[in-house]
Amino acid sequence: MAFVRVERLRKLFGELVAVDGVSFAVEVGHTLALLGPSGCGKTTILRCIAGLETGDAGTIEIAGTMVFDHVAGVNLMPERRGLGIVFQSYAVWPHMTVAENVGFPLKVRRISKAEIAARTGRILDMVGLAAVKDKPATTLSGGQQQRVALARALVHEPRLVLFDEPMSNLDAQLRARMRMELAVLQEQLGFTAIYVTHDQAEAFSLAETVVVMNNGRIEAAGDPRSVFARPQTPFVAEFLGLNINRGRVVTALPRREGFDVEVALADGFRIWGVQSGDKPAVPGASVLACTRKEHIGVAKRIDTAAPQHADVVGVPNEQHFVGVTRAASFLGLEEEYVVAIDGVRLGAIRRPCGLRAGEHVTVTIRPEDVIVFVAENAGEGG
Amino acid sequence: MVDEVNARSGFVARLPDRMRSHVRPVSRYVEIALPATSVLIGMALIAGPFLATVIRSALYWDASGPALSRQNFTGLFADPRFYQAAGNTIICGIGATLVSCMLGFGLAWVVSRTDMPGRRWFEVFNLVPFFLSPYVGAISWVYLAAPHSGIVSRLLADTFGLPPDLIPIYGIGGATWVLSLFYTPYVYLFVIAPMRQMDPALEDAARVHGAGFWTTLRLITIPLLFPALFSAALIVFVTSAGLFDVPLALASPRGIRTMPTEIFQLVQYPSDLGRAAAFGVVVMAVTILLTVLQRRYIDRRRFETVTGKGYRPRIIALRAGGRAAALAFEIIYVGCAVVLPVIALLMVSLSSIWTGTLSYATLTLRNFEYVIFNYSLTQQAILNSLFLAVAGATLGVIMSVLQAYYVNRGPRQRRAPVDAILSLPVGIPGIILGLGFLILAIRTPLYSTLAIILIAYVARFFPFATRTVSSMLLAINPELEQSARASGAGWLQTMRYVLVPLLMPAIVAAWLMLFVIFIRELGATILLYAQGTETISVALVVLSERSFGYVAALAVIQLMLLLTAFSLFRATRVSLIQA
Repeated sequence: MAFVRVERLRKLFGELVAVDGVSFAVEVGHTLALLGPSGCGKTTILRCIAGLETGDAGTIEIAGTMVFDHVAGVNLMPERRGLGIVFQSYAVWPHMTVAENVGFPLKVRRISKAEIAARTGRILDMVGLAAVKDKPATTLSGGQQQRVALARALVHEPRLVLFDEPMSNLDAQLRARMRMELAVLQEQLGFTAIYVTHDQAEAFSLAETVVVMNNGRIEAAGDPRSVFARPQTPFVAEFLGLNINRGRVVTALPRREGFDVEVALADGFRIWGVQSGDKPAVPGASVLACTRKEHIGVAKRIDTAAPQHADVVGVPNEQHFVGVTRAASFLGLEEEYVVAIDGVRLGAIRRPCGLRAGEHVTVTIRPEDVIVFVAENAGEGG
Repeated sequence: MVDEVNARSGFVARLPDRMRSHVRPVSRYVEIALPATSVLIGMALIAGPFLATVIRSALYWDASGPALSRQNFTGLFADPRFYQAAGNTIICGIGATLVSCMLGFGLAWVVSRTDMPGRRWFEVFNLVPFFLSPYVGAISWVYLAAPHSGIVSRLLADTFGLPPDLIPIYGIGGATWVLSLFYTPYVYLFVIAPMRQMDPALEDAARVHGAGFWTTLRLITIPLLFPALFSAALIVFVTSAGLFDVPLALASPRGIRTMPTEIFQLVQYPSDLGRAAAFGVVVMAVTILLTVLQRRYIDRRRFETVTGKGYRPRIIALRAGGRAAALAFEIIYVGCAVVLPVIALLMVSLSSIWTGTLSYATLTLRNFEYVIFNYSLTQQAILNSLFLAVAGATLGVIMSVLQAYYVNRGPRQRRAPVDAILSLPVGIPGIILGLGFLILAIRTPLYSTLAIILIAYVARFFPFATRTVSSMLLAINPELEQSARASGAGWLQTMRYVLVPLLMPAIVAAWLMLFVIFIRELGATILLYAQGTETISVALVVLSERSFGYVAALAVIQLMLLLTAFSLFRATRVSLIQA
């Protein structure tokens, strides 16, 4: 059963449409991640759910209660929605100690001092801050302040907790650790969470559902694996860091799901890819061919006269191209290359194999790793 | 970090001889001597009247001449009038502080955090009282609210049949009211900056975690702004309690004693300078104590998140009722502090006889004609005020640039103590400083000259200019000057071509601020003027016993000067808070 339900939510800032008719639902105890670049509207949605902004259309329902309904004129004040929230800036109150910060949600609910002390102590134990509970909150490090903010958002056992880019002020190692701790806490306390982030790793690792936002609209939604495996739009592909190359359709053949499409890329060579959906691209149509960097095979060319792909009839299992490495950068466990095939540049990520810039290579791409989008509504940015 | 001066001389020492000759040796002395001299003059201006008052308070004249004695203090403390005056002043000060804190906090919040219509305009209007004369404000309120003859009193009596002496404008209440109106912009300026810079998530977090609007205000917003509010309150208390202008106009006519008017009385014939000095010492001790308290408090409690990076404040969308209430609040404040007094002044200045209403029969420009063309006292007063304001502001600004240089670039270990000493007179009431200079000058040729008034003005107010310039200098990277020096410019050239142009906005703002203060100054002048050295404010006091019309006309002329300075000040875009 859906615990949070957002329907056709719309929010304007003057002329700007910040959120443009967004709908989604979150199951009890699940985490939904709102993923997207800055300015895509994800934080505005979160603030509308919290009651810190008032939408211009649509409804928001939390735990069976309508907290916002534009038509019916329902708009519960933030404090009446019974939520917890963690902000990017921590928003830890500098004039209070750690314990006072964490106990605040209980204090304003007029809970007895003894119970406040007990519950604050318990939650501080869970986040590992019991030792510093009487310190002024702003004397703590960034990571510790983030734990204070987390404890404060959980102490009154809200059934929904909102996270607004909570880890983007932390360094990479701390972020990875906090991610794990957050998952453990959610397992223990069983709250439902909505998590706003621009970091795909964070979204994929924490959420049961990922919603990718762009310009106030939902570009893609689904479980992390499907959103990741087959980007549903060119925007998602680009946001996830895929190679995007422009071209025209040569032929399109139906397959079990979608179509095999042969694309002539802007600078000459042809490549087979897969287009999903039930309407094939017509020959000559402008398309975008997207490839994940990890799916591009690069190997040092041994024989000088490599076979071109033109002699294969139908769709090949693997396509081989001749290219030159233009740049190589060593990343530790991996190595990233830029390879040029004719005039087309592709990024590729491989296990380190010691290639340098300027070497002749054979590039291998499987047709099912090439995602083809019809370009008309896909923006010119490919 | 290496001291810049050492670094610079080290750099010069390493230059080849041929190039070293470019750094003129004179520059060396000027660089050290000029700022240091300015600091010494500043200190002398502070120490002179202070020591004069302290010494005079310990001297008692009997038949055989002056002798060291506690007589002045014992006489003062045995006098019930001292306790009345002190009590009334404390009541006035606390009252004005409380009211102006509420008004200032409310106005700042409404302007910076809500979508009240016209808030950009009110942002400007709220500051206007800061530039007006409290004495003129007080007499305008007499025109508005005096029993029987006040415009508002008449209106209420004629329209609603209320008693014509309903508004108690004369007395502690009236004085507190006018002081509150004038000191509200101080609080407003003190709290609006942290209110804007505060991370809005601090309040959002409280709301989401269960606190309502008022609870959030009480538990989060006000505590976070408390350091700013508290230090504003201390400053308002010290300055409003020490202000001579308002009690003179509103308390003295009913024989109500206050500290400043009592000191004024003690200096009048038959004068008792010894007791006045003893009173002055008590006031100075309290003032310095409170000022030091405020500084230490501010240093101790500065919340990092409040003064941190620039957040965009969250604008709260008010409902129709809230907007109307906010707008009404603003209109009432600006109306009471600016619009109504100005209307009253204009009406009185344009009437040949004042009866509490404007009528065509008595409409005239004669008051202006008389004040500007026919009356030598007012003519001389206008010229004197202009001279004092222009000369005083210029001297003060030159001193302040050199002092600001010393405080920011001078010997490192002396900067902080020099800064602390130079800002001591900020809270000392004008009348106390005037008393000090009176005691200093009474048997010298300076007595009853414009020069002694000029010196007292500069002494009382240069710290404001120094603070304005210093806060701007603080933001200028010393490498800018070091580059000029390394390029071969001497110290004076560096000041002239690099530092002074960079500081120009602050210099202009400081000059205009001093100009405004000097045009309206009354507390120090009232003890130091003589025949021929009256200022506009003194002429207003002198004329107040003769004709409403002349007073109002002269006040309108003063108002024009102040408003011109205000509009020029707006053009400099220097924030008032730096002052």
